[in-house]
Amino acid sequence: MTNRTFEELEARCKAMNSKRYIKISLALLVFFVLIAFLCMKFFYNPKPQKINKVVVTSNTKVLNQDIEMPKEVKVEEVKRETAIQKVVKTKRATNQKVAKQTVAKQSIQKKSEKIEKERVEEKTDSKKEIKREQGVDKKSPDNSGEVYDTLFLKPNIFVPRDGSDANIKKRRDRGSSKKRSGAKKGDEEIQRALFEDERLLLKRNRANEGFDTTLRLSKYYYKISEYQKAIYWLKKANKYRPSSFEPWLIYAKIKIKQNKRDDAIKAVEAFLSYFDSEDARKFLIKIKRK
Amino acid sequence: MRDYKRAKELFKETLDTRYYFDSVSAEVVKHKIENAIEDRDASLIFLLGDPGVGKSYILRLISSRLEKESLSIFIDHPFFDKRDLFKILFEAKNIEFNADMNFNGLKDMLFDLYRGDRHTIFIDEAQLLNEDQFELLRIMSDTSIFQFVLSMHKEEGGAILEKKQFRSRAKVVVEYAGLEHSEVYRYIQSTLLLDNHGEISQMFSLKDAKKISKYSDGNFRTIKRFVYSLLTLLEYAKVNGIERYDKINNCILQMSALDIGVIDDK
Repeated sequence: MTNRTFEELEARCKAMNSKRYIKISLALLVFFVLIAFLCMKFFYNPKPQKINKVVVTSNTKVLNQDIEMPKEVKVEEVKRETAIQKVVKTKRATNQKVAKQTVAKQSIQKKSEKIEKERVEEKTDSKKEIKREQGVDKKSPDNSGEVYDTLFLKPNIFVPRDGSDANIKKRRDRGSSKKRSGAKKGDEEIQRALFEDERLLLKRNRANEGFDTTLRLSKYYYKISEYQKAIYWLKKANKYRPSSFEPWLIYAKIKIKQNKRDDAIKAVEAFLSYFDSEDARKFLIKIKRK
Repeated sequence: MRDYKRAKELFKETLDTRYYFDSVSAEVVKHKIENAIEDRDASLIFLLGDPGVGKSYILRLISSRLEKESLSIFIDHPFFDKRDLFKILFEAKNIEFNADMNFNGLKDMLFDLYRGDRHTIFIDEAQLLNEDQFELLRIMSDTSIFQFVLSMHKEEGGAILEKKQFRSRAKVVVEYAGLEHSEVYRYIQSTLLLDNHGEISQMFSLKDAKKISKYSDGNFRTIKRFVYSLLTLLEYAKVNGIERYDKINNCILQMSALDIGVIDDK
């Protein structure tokens, strides 16, 4: 064994070891990085938060909506205010919004209570009217051959003497409750009331959708002659309670209003083929009479 | 006092049967071959194993022990001509070999010479024999006068055994495996202690022996070379006062492995 051979062997051995240590440390590093990445991915996964942007312009007031400001205004606002001031402002604005919302909610609640009372009165009135009108000739006053259904829950439909559609629509849009109360209200107010009714009904439906809420919506749209929407909600109500005749009844009435008596008869007959109902049979007899 | 120079001489390549190490595999092989030799039906015995496991050593050991009982001839390299085998056999009986006689005449004369007793012929590196030589061995073994113990490499031996002249014949095949990890430690210790190198034997731990076994893959020849190289390096370190190699460590084991070429750093 020479000196050179020994030193050479020693050097080769050290080089081999250092290579091995580097490989091991690299492998460990990759392993730990992978573990850290996996941990971060699985355990730390923040959900993106929605930020309500506040409209800065002073004139318009928007409740609970995400609206973007015009770009030019935004840039100016950013330049003027510091970040902290912005945060304070947005907080104040949100607080104001919340306060306004609660006030609006309270007013809506009061209105809905009024509407409920009026509806109950309406029902009792309509029942009385139905009883009164059972013996009345179903034919139209001008003997045109068209039949207006007197079995509707809302017996407010009547034919004006001049026969104009516009007047019919106006009277329909007024709503029975408003007319009955005797109070004269402007169109705008009626529209707002109807809008709020619709909003309230939709809100209630969203909160807890079921047979009652969907049926109420269908009746509401039937009242205001929005027959497509009414049919949409009738179908939903039917899904919740297929054995109930009420949705079918309203559907048949809509068809009669649309001068599609045959469709109405078919619908009732279809219901009777699935379920046995005294009311359905009586109604069928009535609509088959001319 | 650590005499590395003298100690490493014990691990030189040698076929001296005085230094037989009775490993488990060696004992099993020896036992099987001896039983097969005693069995009159087995005229062909094959000893297969990787190069360096100790086939030649075992063959020599068995041959030397058998010499006392009956005629045993050990041929350490395969004869190059069929007549070369006849020549060896004639000379073993102290009879002059007549090179002019024809092959069949020589054969008949040989069979008459050896008739009456069973003789075992050990042939090492038998994988180097050609077809004609194998055919001759087959003919001679069929006479039941001669019994052949052939050692060959495992790979080539397997192919030879598949040949038609051996496939149908009754034969004994013995496989020789390498040393176990625990046996390497015992081998090193026993070899060193045989020559009173107690201090050096204490330098080796079971862990070191396991590493040596791992590097050499249980091959006897490689183990010997490894230990020889290791003792050479330790001797050099001692002579040159390199204290970090005063005892056996991973680095010096790796250096020995690099020296004998069992590992490559490239």
